[in-house]
Amino acid sequence: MAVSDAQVATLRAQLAGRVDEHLHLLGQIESAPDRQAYSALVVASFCEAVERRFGQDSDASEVVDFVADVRATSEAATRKIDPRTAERLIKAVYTDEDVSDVGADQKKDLYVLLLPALIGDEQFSGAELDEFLGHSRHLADQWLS
Amino acid sequence: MPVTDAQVLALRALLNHAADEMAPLAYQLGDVEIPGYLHLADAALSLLACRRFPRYSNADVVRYVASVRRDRLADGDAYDIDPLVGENVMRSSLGISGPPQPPGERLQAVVALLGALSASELHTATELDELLRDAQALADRWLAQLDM
Repeated sequence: MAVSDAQVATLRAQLAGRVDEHLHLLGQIESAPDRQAYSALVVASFCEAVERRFGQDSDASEVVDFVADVRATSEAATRKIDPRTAERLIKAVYTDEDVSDVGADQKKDLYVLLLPALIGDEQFSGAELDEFLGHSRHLADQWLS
Repeated sequence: MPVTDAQVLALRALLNHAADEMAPLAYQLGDVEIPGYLHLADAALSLLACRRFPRYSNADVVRYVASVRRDRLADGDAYDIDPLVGENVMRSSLGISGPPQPPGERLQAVVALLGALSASELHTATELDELLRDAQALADRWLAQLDM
């Protein structure tokens, strides 16, 4: 199993802010293997984005500020994003933070909510977004193989 | 039962960031006086929170609690407060009611927020005296309502 071009296009539409196109493409990912591959792409993108935004030298306070900024964007974001869990998922990318107690659905929801904010901070051009997704796809393919 | 001088003294030590003084003073309050002390602390927090944030904004509350946590995390994870409890305490202080919070986590949040707000909002001994007087009056009103 590997990530398909259609799955990359689906995530690209979300990260480029094209919500309608993203939702349309997302609706076409129906089979269990396709959903698994798309999930792997989302998680790989989250890890790649966290590495770029934070990395080894970041301290806990930077993560606290980032999650607070995302939650402060709307009351819905405040409600949906549990701050401590979001901070732990971010730190788990580059530390030995154990997040095995966090449910799969909660993880998935938080990856989807946090990823656009991580990407937004990067202010990618179209080419840079393609490069970013290329790296993420490569990582996801390694996980799926 | 109105606020006592001993309760005001303990809160004064907290707002003066004199932890060495505050701990024995709070301990000496005992089981009888602690509930009144907590009302006094809530009153002071409400007055300081409204001074800092005259108009309520969810974003302000989220970012402020994060900033308090960030400063405390510099001293280690053990000094962190529960962010959701902290936000609910701040909202309550600003007149936005919410669900009851676990007592232990709530107290940690109140102490942390009082420490941060007093550092930024109280600049002179006179301002501290005024805040304590106003907080005592407010807490006395709340306690009188509870006694009715």
